[in-house]
Parts: sequence; structure tokens; C-alpha cells
Amino acid sequence: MVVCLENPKCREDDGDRLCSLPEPVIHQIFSFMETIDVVRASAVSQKWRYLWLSVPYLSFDMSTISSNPQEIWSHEKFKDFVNWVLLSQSGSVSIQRFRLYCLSYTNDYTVYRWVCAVARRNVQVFDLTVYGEVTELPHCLVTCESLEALKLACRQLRMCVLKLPFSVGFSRLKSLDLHNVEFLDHNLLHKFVSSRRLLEKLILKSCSFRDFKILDISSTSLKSLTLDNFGGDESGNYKVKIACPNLVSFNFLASWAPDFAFEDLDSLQNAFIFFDIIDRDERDNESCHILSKLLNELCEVKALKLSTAFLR
Amino acid sequence: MATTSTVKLRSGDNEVFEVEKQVMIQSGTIRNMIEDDAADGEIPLQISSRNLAKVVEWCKCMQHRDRNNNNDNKEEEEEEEEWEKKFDEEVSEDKDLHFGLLLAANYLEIPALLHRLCQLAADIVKGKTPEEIRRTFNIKKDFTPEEEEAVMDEHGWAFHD
Repeated sequence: MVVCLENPKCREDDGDRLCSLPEPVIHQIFSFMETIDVVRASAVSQKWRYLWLSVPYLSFDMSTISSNPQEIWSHEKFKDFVNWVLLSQSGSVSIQRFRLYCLSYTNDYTVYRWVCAVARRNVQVFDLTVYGEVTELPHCLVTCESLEALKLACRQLRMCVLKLPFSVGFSRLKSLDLHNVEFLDHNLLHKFVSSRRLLEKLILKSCSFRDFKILDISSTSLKSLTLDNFGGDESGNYKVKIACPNLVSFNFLASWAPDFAFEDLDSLQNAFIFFDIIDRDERDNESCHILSKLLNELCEVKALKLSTAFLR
Repeated sequence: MATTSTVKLRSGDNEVFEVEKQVMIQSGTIRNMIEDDAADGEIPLQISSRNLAKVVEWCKCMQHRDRNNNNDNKEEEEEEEEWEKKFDEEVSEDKDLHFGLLLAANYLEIPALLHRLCQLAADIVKGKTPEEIRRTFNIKKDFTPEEEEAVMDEHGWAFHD
């Protein structure tokens, strides 16, 4: 095939060269596109017509679909579209990545049904952003054996209260990324993280516990940990305890330095620490103490980036 | 273990490129050959010299970048960014080169290059109407009027409200 496609004699077929690429390459090209664009392209020619039916990357984004002022979609139309794609693709095509940005459709179980349909198709990467409540992850997703990466973001002012599955589920999960989620119990998060034996990457952004006092992360598998704007508790009186012997990269961004307790951070190579406010009048001694303790703990890392607040 | 530090690649039009093994191990296909001690002679590849030269250039640039990852040399960093920008432009404007490199990166198993090229291809197709895609890639519309109507019916919501 390489010979033919590079032969100038084949130039007449110029237009169909994209369709003649090996299927995995076509899929990889489509993986960078929204599903609406992939489906639209099926009206190009005979060869393009059914390409989208086997694409294992699906991405539905209500906000970009609606961003075209010429063509504002109703929720019903968006729902129709997602249903139609899921209905048309063969159930035997395993979904490598499913991305959905939408309203929660809490009242009619629409998202729930989509999640279950996708879980049955052996989804590996699941990326869900909802403008509304998510309180519990559907059981079908929790027990989905193929799931390797989960990202869940709630776009609303109030945090979503999320119940993490506690003893079963997410057995193959390597990456967990949660935004704007509230946990009801810090113990549950601790147990969840330490019992997911394959979990390598954890990102908690704008997350919090109710009655939050200690964030305790211990894991033998974790390699990358990002805690961004955790807690949001103005008093700043909380403790971060980290015991991860295989942690390579640690990012911590917050308005104020909590009390850190590190254990077993022998593998740590990159640390990025950012505090945006240091209240000097009230906490000068306290902050110096916490910061010097922190630097002491991190003295072995290869690359350390600190926010400018440190230099004051 | 192989004894030399370079590998010789022969293009489809018989030009030989001698490249450091350290550079070419980014290619899964060539790395396997080196590991199996099958890379001591010339490796014949069904890739034109023009495309192969570009692949080698790309691999050299990436290897250089990875090696210098930890020292903060602003000037070199800018130079590399400039090179990548030029590469993107060149590929996006030249479909022969783009398709040739897509096939070469796939055949040689160079994931990062394939990733970049696929992203560039997606950027070209993204947001275009079927007619614009046809014009961009010189595709003939080969639907009969009935078929075209069927396609439009099927995908009604995708084209109009």
C-alpha cells in the first residue's frame, strides 16, 4: 500500500487517500474530532459514508454544538443525536474513549442509560462533564471491567456530593480525575484510593470533604497526584497525609498551606507547590514553620517548583 | 549486541540514510530490528527518500528535545518550537507529504509522530461541511440523487435544524 500511495500515478485518487489509510489511522484522526463532525463527514462520498460506524472514539459536547449561533440545538435534539449514534454503531465495537459534556438530565435517566450502554461496550476512558447533579455513579460503570480512566466534572456552583464505591468496582482503574466533587467521608476516599491496586494517577480539583479535617492518601501504585484547590475551608486547618512509595510527581495548589505529613516519598522526582495567599501578619511564625517543614520533606526531589509566595 | 552505533535506511527510491540508532529507536519497527540484531545491513523501506528524510529529521528533533528536557535553555526551546511550527505548516499545506508521512509513521510505528500527523489531519477536516471537505481533498461526489437524499434524511439533524 505504501508503494502505491506514494506513486505519482495514483494522484488521481487524491481525494480518497484519506479513506485508503489503514483503519486504525483513520480512527486516530477521528479521535481528535467531535462525533458530530465525524458523522457530518459521512455525507462526503460513498467511501466516507460508513466510516463513522466503527469509530471507537465518541465525543458529544452540548456546549460546542450549541456554540454555532446559526444552529442552536435543543436539548431534545442533542439527546436524539447521542441516542442515534449509540443505536447505529455496532455493539461489538469497543469504545476506547467516551466524552460527554451535557446537562444532567436528572429527571429522565438519559445520562444513566448512555453510561450503561457505553459501559457494556467495554469503554476504556470515560470523560463526563455535567452541568448539574451527579450523586452516585451508575453501578454498570463502577463494575465495568474495561474502565481504565475516569474523569468526572460537575459544572455548577454547588459541589456535587459523590458517593464513591467502597469495596467493589473500578478494579482496573489507572486514572481518576474529579472536579468540583464533595466527599461525605474522608475515610471512604482513603479506603477507595488504597484499595485500587492499579491506580497510578489521581487528580482532585476543587474537591472537598464535608467536615473536612484530614486528607489521607496512601497507595503503593500511585505515581502522580494533583491536589488543586482542595478543601476550600477558609481556616486552612486541615492536614494532608501522603504515603505513596512510588509517587513520582506531586502537584499541590491551594490558597493556604495545610499541615503536611509525608511518608515514603522515596520515588518523588517532580514537585510543584503553589500557595496564592500567605497572610503574613497573623501567621508569620506558623507559615515559616510549615513551609520549612515542607521543604525539608521535599529536599530530595529532582525538580521543585514553588510559587512566588514562598519568596516573601 | 549490535556493534555499530548507526543504522542504514534505504528508501524506496534507493537513497541510503545513515542515522544514529539512538535516534531511530523511536520507531518501534526499527527498534525491534535493532534488538533482534537484524539492523546491521541496510534496512529497505517502502518509503520515498523525501518522506524518509522528513521522518529522520523529525526523529532527530524529538530526540534532541528529550535529551535537553531538563536544562532550561530558552533559546533552544524557542528554536525547537519554531521547527515544530514550520513542520506543522509544511505538512498541512502539502497533502502528498502529509499522507506519505501518515503511512510512514504508521508503518515505522512512531506513535508521537503519528499522533501529531493525525491531529493535523483532524484540524483540516474539523468544522467543514461535506462540500468543503470534497473541495479540500479533491473528492468527487459519487452519490446518485436518490442516495444523496437518503444521506440527508438519515442525518437530517446534522445539517439543518
